[in-house]
Amino acid sequence: MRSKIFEFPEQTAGKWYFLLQSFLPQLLLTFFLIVMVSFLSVTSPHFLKWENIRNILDQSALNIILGTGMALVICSGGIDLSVGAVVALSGVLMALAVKGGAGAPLAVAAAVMSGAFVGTANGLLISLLKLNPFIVTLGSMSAVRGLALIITGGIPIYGFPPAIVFWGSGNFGPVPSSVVLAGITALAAAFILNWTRLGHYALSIGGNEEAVRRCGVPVNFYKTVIYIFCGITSALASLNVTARLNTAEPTAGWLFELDAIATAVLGGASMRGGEASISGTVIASLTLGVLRNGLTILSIPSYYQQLAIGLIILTAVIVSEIKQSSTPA
Amino acid sequence: MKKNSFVTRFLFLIPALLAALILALLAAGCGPVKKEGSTPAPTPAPVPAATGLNPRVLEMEKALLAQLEPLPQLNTGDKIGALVITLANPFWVGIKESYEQAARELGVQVEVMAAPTEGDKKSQLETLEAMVAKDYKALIVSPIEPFNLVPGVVKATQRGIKVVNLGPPINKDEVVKNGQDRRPHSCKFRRPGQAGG
Repeated sequence: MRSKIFEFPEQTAGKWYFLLQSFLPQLLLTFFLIVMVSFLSVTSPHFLKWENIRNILDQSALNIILGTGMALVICSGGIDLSVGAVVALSGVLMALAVKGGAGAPLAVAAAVMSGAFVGTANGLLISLLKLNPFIVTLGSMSAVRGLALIITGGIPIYGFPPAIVFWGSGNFGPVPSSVVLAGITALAAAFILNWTRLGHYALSIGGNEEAVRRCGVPVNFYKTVIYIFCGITSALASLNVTARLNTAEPTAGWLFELDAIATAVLGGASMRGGEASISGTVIASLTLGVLRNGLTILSIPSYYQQLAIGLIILTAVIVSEIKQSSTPA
Repeated sequence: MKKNSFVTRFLFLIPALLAALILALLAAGCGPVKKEGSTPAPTPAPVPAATGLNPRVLEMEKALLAQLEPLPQLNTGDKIGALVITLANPFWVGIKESYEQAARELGVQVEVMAAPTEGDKKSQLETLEAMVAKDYKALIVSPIEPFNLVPGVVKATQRGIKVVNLGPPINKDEVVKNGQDRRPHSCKFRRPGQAGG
């Protein structure tokens, strides 16, 4: 569901037109996804196999987890560039906890705590000191990555217990565990965004922070909580990717923040704030997943992926810009 | 809304154009690959020419071939997938060209894929998983590190695709462990170098 508050549709416009307008990015994306899936299933006999669809879901899960956290941050008018570095740091801390004799739950808790800690630091710096989120998270990206490199000495840590590896390559029946993790994260984020005070305030802060502050809302608190949520989703993503590769390394999660921003924006989040969609983010992740998988299935070199993804993102920005300029502010 | 409704009405054209562009890109991309794979060489020449090589090397090669099982039938047209580390590194481009040349000589089809960058372990695994879903007879993998391709190799062996490990070794114990975790039967996996082609 696309969330936008303070919207006053003109009474003259029809109900269907209004619905179409408010779901436009998701509809276009779904349309594009359907076109691509039908093209690929005609072109390659291997595309529609359950095994391959399972691959796509499994691989999109990571982007869904990262994208939902990023969507919340972006809709509050901020941005979090430290996502990839948090993935590395919490993976490394999880590995250290495991090597230090801690059980799997404790190790995962350590990862989540470290994500939440970086989120808190980001949020406090941005909200209390009124610093630019881009610069703050750029700094914390470098600092956190540096910390991960110092802790490990740059050397990857191998070998995790089965309880952790399960979250990377295990299954709940026919469904990969990563998909379950992504589903829970997306549902939680959708609930927060659409039905809780935190979500509504996040959208309002993105729309007009000063107005929300003058209404007596503790803006700093809510902004910090949003960054903490993003840190926690990064830690969950780290659990997935670390378990999948069975390796914790300080260079993990390289440029994950760009994928996360791309999925959030493709899914209908506005970089100006005040708008975001979790369902859109999920569809965007699936679209990118299908694109990557399709290019591999057709044996096309990975460089084309970058070109194609770039074109899609540019198109998404153009569409959302035209839509924004056509809706009453 | 009134002012720009004209523009919004034509917004559906944009993704359609984009879809057309990307489809064209896909078509352009897969064109040459298919052509290359489907032209078997008319003259198979499995034994390399002996001119200009160090005689010791020839001797070693002869000894090596004597130890191996007799070479399988040629010109079967079997499809073999190869996964290298990255084509941004000239070394792996050389490996790719050698694979393709060897495939022409032996009369098989080979498709070489790679990760986008040297350190992108996740993408390499995802590429392998997509390759496993296709109908390759065998896969030749060069993992970035000992662990990153383990889940993909387990999937391949469970589907009965033979996996050959070339270059950096994969952690064999982990493959067996991972395979046993999923299914009780033992995991048949070839040792590195045992069946190099």
